[in-house]
Amino acid sequence: MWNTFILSPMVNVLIWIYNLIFNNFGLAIIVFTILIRLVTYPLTAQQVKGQQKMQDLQKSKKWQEIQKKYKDDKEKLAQEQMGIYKEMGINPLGSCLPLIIQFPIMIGLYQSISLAMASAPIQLLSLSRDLYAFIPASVLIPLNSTFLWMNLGLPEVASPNAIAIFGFALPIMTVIVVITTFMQSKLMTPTAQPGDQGAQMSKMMNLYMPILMGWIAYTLASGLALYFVVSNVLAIAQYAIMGKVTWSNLLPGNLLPKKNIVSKK
Amino acid sequence: MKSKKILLLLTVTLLSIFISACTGSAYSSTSWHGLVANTDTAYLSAGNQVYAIDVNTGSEKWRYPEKPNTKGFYANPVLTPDEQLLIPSYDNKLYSLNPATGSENWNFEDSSNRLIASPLVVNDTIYQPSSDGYIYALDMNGRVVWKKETGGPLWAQPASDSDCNCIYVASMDHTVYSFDASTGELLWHTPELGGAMVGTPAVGPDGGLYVGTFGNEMLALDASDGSILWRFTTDDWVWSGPVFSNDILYFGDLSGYFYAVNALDGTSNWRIQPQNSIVDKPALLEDKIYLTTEGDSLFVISTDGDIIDSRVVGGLIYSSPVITGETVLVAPTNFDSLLIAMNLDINQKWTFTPAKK
Repeated sequence: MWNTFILSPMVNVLIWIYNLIFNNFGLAIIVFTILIRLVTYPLTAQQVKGQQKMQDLQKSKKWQEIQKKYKDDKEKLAQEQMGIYKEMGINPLGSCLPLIIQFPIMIGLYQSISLAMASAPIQLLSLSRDLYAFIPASVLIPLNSTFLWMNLGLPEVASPNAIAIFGFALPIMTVIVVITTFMQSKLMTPTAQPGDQGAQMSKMMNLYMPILMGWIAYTLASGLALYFVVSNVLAIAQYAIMGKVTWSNLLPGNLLPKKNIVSKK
Repeated sequence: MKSKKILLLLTVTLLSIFISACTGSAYSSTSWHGLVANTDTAYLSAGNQVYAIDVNTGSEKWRYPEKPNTKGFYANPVLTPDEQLLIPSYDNKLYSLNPATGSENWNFEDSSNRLIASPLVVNDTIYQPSSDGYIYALDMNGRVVWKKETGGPLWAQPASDSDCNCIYVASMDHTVYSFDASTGELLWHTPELGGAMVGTPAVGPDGGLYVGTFGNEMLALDASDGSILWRFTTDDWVWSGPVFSNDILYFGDLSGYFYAVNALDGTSNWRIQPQNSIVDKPALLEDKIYLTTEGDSLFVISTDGDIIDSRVVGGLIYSSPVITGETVLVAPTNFDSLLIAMNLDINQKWTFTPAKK
C-alpha cells in the first residue's frame, strides 16, 4: 500500500526529473521539492488560514472572558471552548492536520531518495522492481549521486568529497538546515498575545525543531538535508507571498524565547 | 508549564527516534549474507558479524567482532593460499582475519566508499574493488601496490586470466576493463555495454569473457581486446555472472528465468522458470546444478533443464549455494537460522542459529 501509492510514484517522478535535467540528482531533488511544495500548497494555505482564525479567536473578548470565568474548572472551560469552536466554524486541529499530512510525504521522500541512490544491493534490487516501464532504467543506473561536495545517498560527513579541516569532515549542510529551520520557525510564528501559553510552546518548538532537523540531516542521507534546506526556503517564500511572515521576529531581541513573556497580574 | 516543556521535549525526542527507526541507519539490512567454505569450516558474513561454523556439526567456532557493531559484512569472504580470511566491509575497510581464531591480522582503509564486492586473490596480490570506483591491488599485508579508477562504483568481484597476466573488472559504469595484474596498466576497455554490471565475469578456455548486464543481456567479449562477440537477450536484469561448464553458460535473471546458453555462439539451449527472482549464480557439481531463488527454495536441476528436486529452505535466498565435500550450504536472509546445511540429496543435516552473547 505504502509502496504502491507513495514510494513508487515518488521514486519514479524523482528519477524521471533526474533524466530530464542533466542526470543531476541534486537538481532533481530541488525540482522535486518545488513540485511537492506546489502539490501541498492547498494544505499550507489551509494551515495558514486555520492559524489566522485561531489567532483572531484568541484575541476575541468572548474567548478571554471564558478563560477568566472558568480558570478553575478545566472541564467546563474545555466544553465552552468547544462550543465557541463550533459556533465560529473552527476546527481546532485545522492548522495541525496539514502538518501531519506532510509528515508521511517527508518520510516517503527520504525513502525515495535512499531507494533511488541504491547505494547497496537490497536497495538496488528494490529499485529494479519499483521503476515504471517509461523509465530507461538500464541507461540511467547507477544514478550520479554527487552534488557539490556531497554524495546524496550517504550522510554528509561520510561523503568522499566532504569538506574537511584537519581530517574532520564539516557538517556544512547540517548547519544550513539548522539555520533555515530556525529562521522558518521564527518567521512563521505570529506575534504572541499576553497570557498566550500556546505562544510559549511555539517558542520552545522554535528551539527544539532546528535541533531535531539538524540531527536528522547529520545522521541520514545528505539528499534529505538538501530537501530540508530547499523546503525551508520555499516555505518562507510561500508565507512571504501570502503576507504572513513576521520579519520582526528575526531582530536580535526576539531571537530567543523570553521567559517573562507571560505577564503575571 | 514546566511539565509541558518536558512533554514537548519528550515528544520531539520520540519523533526523532521514530524517524531514525523508520528510515534505517547507514548500514542496516542493505544486502544479503556472504559465504565461503572449506571442508572443515564455513565462514559466514552476516551483517554485523562474521561467523566461523563447523561444517560437520554446525557449531560455532568463533565470531568477529565479539560484540555486534556497524561494520556491515555482506560480501563472500575469501580464503587465501597463505591462510588469511579476507572480508570487505561497509565501513570502507578490508579486514584480514586469522581463519583459525578470528583474530584480526590487518585492515586496509584507503577506500572512500563501501566495499560491496569480494576481493580476488591471484599470485600473492589482492584485488579489491570499491564503490568509490577504484580497483585496489594490495600485497598480502594490505599495502597498496597500485590503484586504478574506473567510471563508476565497483560491485563485482574481478576475474583473472593467467594467459595474459591480467584481471577483468566489470563496472557499474556499463564498461568492462582489463588491467595488467602486476602494474595496473589499462590494457583495454569496452565501449558502453548498455547496462550496469554487478556480477563477476566468467572466463572461458576459448578466450571468451562472459558477463551479464542490467540491460537485459548476457554478453560474450573477446578477452584479448574487449570486442563484443555476441549478445543474448534475457527477460530481465542479469545480476550475477554466469557459470561456465562444458561450453555452456548457466545464469538466471530477476524475472526468475534460468538459462543455459551455448558459449560459442550465444544460442539458447533451454530456459526454465522455477520460482521467483534469481540473483546469485548457481553451484555446479558433476551433472547437477544447485540453484537458489529469492522465494525460499533450493532447486536441483539437470544439465538438460529438468528440475530433479527442490526444497523449501525458508527466508529469502539471494546468495549462491556453496558445496563443500558432501554438504550443500545455503545462507538465507530474514530467517532465524543464518545457515542451513544439507547433504547432496538436499536433506537437512543441521541449521546454524547464533547463540545470544
